[in-house]
Amino acid sequence: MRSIGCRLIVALLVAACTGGCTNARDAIADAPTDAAAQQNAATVPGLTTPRDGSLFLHVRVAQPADAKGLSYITEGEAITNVAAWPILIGATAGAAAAPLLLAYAAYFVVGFPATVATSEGIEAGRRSVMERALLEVDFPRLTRESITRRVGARLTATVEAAERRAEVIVLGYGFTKRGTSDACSFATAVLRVEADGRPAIEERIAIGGLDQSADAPPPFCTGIKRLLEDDGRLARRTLAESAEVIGAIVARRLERGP
Amino acid sequence: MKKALVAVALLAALGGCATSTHIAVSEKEVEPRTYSPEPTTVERSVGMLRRLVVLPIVLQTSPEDPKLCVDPCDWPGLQRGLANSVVLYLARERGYEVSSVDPAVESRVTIGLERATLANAARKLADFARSRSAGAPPAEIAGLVNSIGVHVDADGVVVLHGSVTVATWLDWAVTYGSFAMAAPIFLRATASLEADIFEVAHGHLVWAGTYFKVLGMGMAPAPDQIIADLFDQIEPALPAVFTRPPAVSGP
Repeated sequence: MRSIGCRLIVALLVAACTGGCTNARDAIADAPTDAAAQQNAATVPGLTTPRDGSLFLHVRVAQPADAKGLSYITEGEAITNVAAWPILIGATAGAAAAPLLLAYAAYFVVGFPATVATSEGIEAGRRSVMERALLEVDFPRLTRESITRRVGARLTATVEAAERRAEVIVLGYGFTKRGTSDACSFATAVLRVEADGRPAIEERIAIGGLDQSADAPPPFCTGIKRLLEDDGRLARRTLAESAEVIGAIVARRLERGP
Repeated sequence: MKKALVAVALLAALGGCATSTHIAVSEKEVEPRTYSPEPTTVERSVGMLRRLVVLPIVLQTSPEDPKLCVDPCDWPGLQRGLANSVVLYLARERGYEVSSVDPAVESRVTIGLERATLANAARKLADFARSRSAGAPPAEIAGLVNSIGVHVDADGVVVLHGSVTVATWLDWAVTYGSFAMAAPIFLRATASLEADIFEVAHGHLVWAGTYFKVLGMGMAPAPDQIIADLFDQIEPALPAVFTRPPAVSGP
């Protein structure tokens, strides 16, 4: 009961201070624009030791983006939504038994369905924001751009014209659940390189998960509510950064060679 | 009497909730000193300071005598827990390379300074950060940040400071003795912590985050939870794949 009361008070306090609290959000820039990416491409021709030769590069996605299993309602919100009205009724009706019983009866007929509907509305809204973010961030394109900006070899349009063939298969990317209301990014890819018709490299790159790559940063984890604020700005940025990181790791491994 | 009981109920409810976190300072232009960043579309401000060194925590606790605490209050344990959690959180969750000179941390690095000197340095930086003064820091502060940062080859210096006050037996006695009229006394039981990050290259305060929680009749939260809440909004470090060794300026 103490915990429920606590959540109610928090909900009221939060409602009162929403404006002040929201400016505490980090000043994170939006995902890069195409123009910015092109400018980088123009100014960064092969960032590390460029390797000679020609390369045919193919980037594909094996599975669509994934955000299954996420809880879109935080634990606090769920408790607040369900418990707020009974506590408010109890506090206002005091110890008078008859009005209290009537008030609770009214709550279970009208209030409870209303709070459930509110929770479902919030959940559907957040799910929609996440789905749009996953759909609109073009992960394979961003990965390919990241590689082409960095790799030293001359990229060819056809396989036949290249000395080496590199294929990046994005096995999966998106967000996964952690705890009751946190989400963590993940991205997994396989780099396959063939030289002279023979397999030269086959390596896995993972951000997050059990087989996290040593040269990859840790997955970004935060509350689902924060991740999806401002039309999923942080979620989009995280996805775009994951693609950039995968591309940069691929480029480094390509230049390192087998 | 009834009002007092309601007040007690509210305060009891407040125990263990009402946490707020806030970013107080977040500079955009931040310069690392241990590496050169490669051009990338990934944007970072404080995240440019990949290598961080954490100074000893400046923590005031009340009551000083643990026997006065209603719930167990292990102040050295709390301090040790906070010091270790900072290193673990920033490294594992946000990708920074973190070292600590705090004697409470087992894997600390030593920089040849006495414990008291380190504590004094942390206190001076905390006092400066509290003032939130804009513009270039005084030469003493910039020099302090630079000397510590250069010594351990870091890009940034982290200072944690704050206070934790929990309810005492006296608070309970007064509350009972006043028939709960003095229950608001429990509102003074709070946990308040601030993390400040200074840029070694120029000595500037570039990031500050605050944490505040009304403990009421509750206990202080676990150190790792405090640190997770405090640093949740800090951006991740620039991934290592976007870095290269610093350019050496030769003759």
